[in-house]
Amino acid sequence: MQPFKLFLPESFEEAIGLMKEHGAKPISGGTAVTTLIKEKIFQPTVMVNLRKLEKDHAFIVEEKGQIKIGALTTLRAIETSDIVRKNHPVVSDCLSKIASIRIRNVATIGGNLAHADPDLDLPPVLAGLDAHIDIIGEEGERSMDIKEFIQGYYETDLKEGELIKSISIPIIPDRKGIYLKHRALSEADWPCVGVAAFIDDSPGSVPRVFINSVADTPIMQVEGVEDAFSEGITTESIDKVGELAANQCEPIGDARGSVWYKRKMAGEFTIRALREITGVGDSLI
Amino acid sequence: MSTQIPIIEQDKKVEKSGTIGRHTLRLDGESKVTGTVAYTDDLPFEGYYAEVIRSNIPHGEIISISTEAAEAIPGVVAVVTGDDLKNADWISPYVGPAFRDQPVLAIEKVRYVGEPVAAVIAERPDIASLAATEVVVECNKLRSVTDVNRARKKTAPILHESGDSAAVFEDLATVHRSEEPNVAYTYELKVGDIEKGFEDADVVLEGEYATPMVQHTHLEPFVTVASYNVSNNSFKIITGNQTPHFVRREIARIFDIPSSKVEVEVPQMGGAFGSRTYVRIEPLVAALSRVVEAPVKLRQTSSESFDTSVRDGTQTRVKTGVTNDGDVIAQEVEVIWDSGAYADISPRKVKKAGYTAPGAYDIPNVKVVSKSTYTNKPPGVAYRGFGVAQTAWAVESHMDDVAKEIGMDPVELRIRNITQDGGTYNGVPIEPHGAPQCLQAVIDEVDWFGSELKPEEPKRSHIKKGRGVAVTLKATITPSTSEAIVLLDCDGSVNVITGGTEVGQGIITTLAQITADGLGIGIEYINVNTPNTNSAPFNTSTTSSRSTFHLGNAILRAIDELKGQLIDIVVEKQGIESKEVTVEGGLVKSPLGEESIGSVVSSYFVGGGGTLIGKGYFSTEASSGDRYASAFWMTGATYAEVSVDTRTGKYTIDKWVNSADCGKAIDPIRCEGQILGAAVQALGHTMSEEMVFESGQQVNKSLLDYKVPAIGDVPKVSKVIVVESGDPNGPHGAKGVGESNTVTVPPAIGNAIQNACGARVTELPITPDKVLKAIEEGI
Repeated sequence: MQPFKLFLPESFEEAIGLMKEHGAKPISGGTAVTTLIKEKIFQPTVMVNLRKLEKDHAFIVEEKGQIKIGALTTLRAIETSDIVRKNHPVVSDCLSKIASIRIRNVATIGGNLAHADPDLDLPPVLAGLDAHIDIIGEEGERSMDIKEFIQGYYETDLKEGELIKSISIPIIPDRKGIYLKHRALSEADWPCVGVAAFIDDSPGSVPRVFINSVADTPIMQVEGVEDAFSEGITTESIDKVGELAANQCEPIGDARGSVWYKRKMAGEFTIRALREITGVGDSLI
Repeated sequence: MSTQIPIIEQDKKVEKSGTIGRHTLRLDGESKVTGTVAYTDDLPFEGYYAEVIRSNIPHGEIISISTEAAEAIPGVVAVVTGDDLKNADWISPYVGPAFRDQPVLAIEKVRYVGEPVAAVIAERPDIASLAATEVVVECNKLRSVTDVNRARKKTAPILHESGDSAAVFEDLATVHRSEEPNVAYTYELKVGDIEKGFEDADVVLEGEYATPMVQHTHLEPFVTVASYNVSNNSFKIITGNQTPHFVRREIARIFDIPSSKVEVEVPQMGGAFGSRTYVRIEPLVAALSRVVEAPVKLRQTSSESFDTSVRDGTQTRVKTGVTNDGDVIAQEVEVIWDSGAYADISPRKVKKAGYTAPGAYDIPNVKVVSKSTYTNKPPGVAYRGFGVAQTAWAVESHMDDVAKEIGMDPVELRIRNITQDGGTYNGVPIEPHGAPQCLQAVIDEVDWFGSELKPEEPKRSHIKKGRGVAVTLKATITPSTSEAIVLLDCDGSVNVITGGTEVGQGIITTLAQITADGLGIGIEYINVNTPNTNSAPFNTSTTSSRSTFHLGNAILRAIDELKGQLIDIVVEKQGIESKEVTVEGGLVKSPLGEESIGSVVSSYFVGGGGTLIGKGYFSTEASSGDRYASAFWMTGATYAEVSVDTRTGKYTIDKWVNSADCGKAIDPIRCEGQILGAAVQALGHTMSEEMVFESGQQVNKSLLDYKVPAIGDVPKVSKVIVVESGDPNGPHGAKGVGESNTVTVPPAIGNAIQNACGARVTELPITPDKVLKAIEEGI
């Protein structure tokens, strides 16, 4: 590893200034970026460590009908938060399936989402909850839906000198969701395929399905679900949505599964997730 | 399950006991769990740091290596290439335990991606690392071959034109290179009349099975420090290596200096599993130190371990002739080993694993052909199980296929054909080995013949349950030698000096227990060294699960010698007959009274102290005639019970039972640890581990993508059975126990999956993808 200069700013403003001045990237928990550095994929000369921002930006609060989570909050803190568990158990459950407790103890939600790895577990779940990403930059603050925020392969809408400040998840009491993580090699691995499915407890609500690891982003929303369910939710129409999922995804074959297998699993876990949240058909999990 | 943890109470009783057969706290345990133990990289070091430049093509002729840009970087001391070593008059730059086919740095040709081509030496590691990126290697690409079947065709590119036999080991003295293209060595075994055996059989079945290259993934990467002393042309080498005496000999040979001028020190190691055998990075670091005439440290990353040493892949064809009654009367096994670019110890591996390729069964007609093949991949070296894991994957899977074919229970087929203790194997008598007892232990534990698995309820009919078994017989390195020195101080405390290395297996504590028991003193009075070849007597290797057996025997002999000296002193002092004197419980007892062993020593010497020295040599005999010698045999068995999700191909292991024969447990808890550790390592080979190559490049060369088992993968219901058959030649009846279950776990799980859903995956690892494909294709 080549030595690099590390700045420890105490505010977002200071951090942004330093990033701009040195053309530097930020580091918070470092669980993703340090592996990139060790593998020599990324060789920084300057980095801006956001650790000291923890003081003000590691929090989980319930306000104005939403859960607001500071960017420096660790995944473990969110996983074990009563506020999160009470309102959105699907988030706590999803987090409990990421890596190991040691990793979750240091990885932060801001860093996790800014990384935009297509295999990330959390984005499909946050997409199903219509979460917003609150961004801070020189020009001020802006907020956008996570589905627009993550734009492609390790790509987000963050501009040079911008940082994630917080994440806002609306509290939707009648929304029911599930995240199914299919691991092919090891229980401590990235997903082969991860499927998040959501439905609102209101007449005519149509389920939504988001899948990671099968496209260039971690949020592949299955399209055509409304049509498939136009005649009602049955095991047959759920199978149909499974087929849509399998057909729409564009996986890359790797050690976790061939293209054939990942497609099949995108379909299978879509079926499983939909059976769970709709109560239609026998459980397959 | 009780929430009480009884271990502390239990350990209090046995702490410092050292008694044979009782659990003794590891002497190095506290330093390891508290992180204070010093591995090679933790030792104080002042000197230069090296970084290796590696080939990025699988096969090519080196045209030029530009070092100027790197040399111009401030802090860079030197850049060394293969040419520098080839042209130097102070080094013979080729190494290898069987053939000297491996250059210390690539000379003229590169033969695999990741092969060391040059090295930068600098004042700081980061400077070395930066400078390494400035070294430009220009190569003329040659056709490469990564498949063992293509490699053996006449049209294949040839990796090695010649290779001298190293002639270091007796069992390898006569091996010579095969005439077949890219075949390093062929081993053949013929027992009985194979053709007649197939003719007489009611059913003849054939199958093909494969295993990929995998890596040892020891947590401590390769680290070596070498210090060349120009004033007396000597080296000191500190390195994590399982064979310090081989390192000494090989370094002495390549630099043409006496062995006594090479000091090899081996601190504690963070895992080894066969990877740190013979020489790895030691010759390179020694050469670099020789160039700059100063200490040099090379510490590789985990990813570089994949470039340094791996486990051979295999393709195995098995043909079995069986009667309708289930007597296996003929078996032909052809194993083609993917040994990578350099032979390393492959000739011995293909020979030994070839000999036991027919599994643990007594078959009258056997033919084995076992070929080590060169390919443009990293070199295959020793790996826990030494090839038997690969051959057993084939034969133990095949036994279930045979059982299915003749409609017989697979365990019944095994019991019917297993070689008996004191029976014959490959047509000749075999020493007691414990294989039947190991198989019996697991089938008794699960009541195989008296119970059936309960299927899932109809609503969950996509989950299928199944169970499977596998058994093994494996040889240990033979012949070999271990020596020990036991130093008894005048205060009654003891230093034990051997060439045995601590790779995490607990040998320090085991040897201390044997010593404590032998002299009848508390284990707290004993210190067992980690070796330094300047003082430690010869030890062939810390491999092949041989240490308890060989070093234990050497220590017992050293203690006998020591006791003889104590008796002689007392006899002389008291003027009595030696038969009247005994040494027990730390005391020398005679009719005139008893005296502690320390005070006997003290009374013998003058000048403020004295040391009584006992030494013991223990060697085993080489094979002769048809008799294939193994100092002892390793045996074990695995039972696995699985649930297969037939819609995803994913399986879970609901229950597993692992047994292995340790002869006699010096420490039952450490034996359990070895058995379970081997099993969990093999769980990785079963479920996930595979070095994936594309055009000669390994695409998952890091622990990010190369998955080893995590704690969540270990079956929650797990039983370990320590079988104690009592080895006739072992110290207290003990023998090695570290490898058997690396062999039996994959086929037991594969058999259970086949039993559950009919799917036979023939190529490791058994991924859900492959299981689902096999289900859909009805294989």
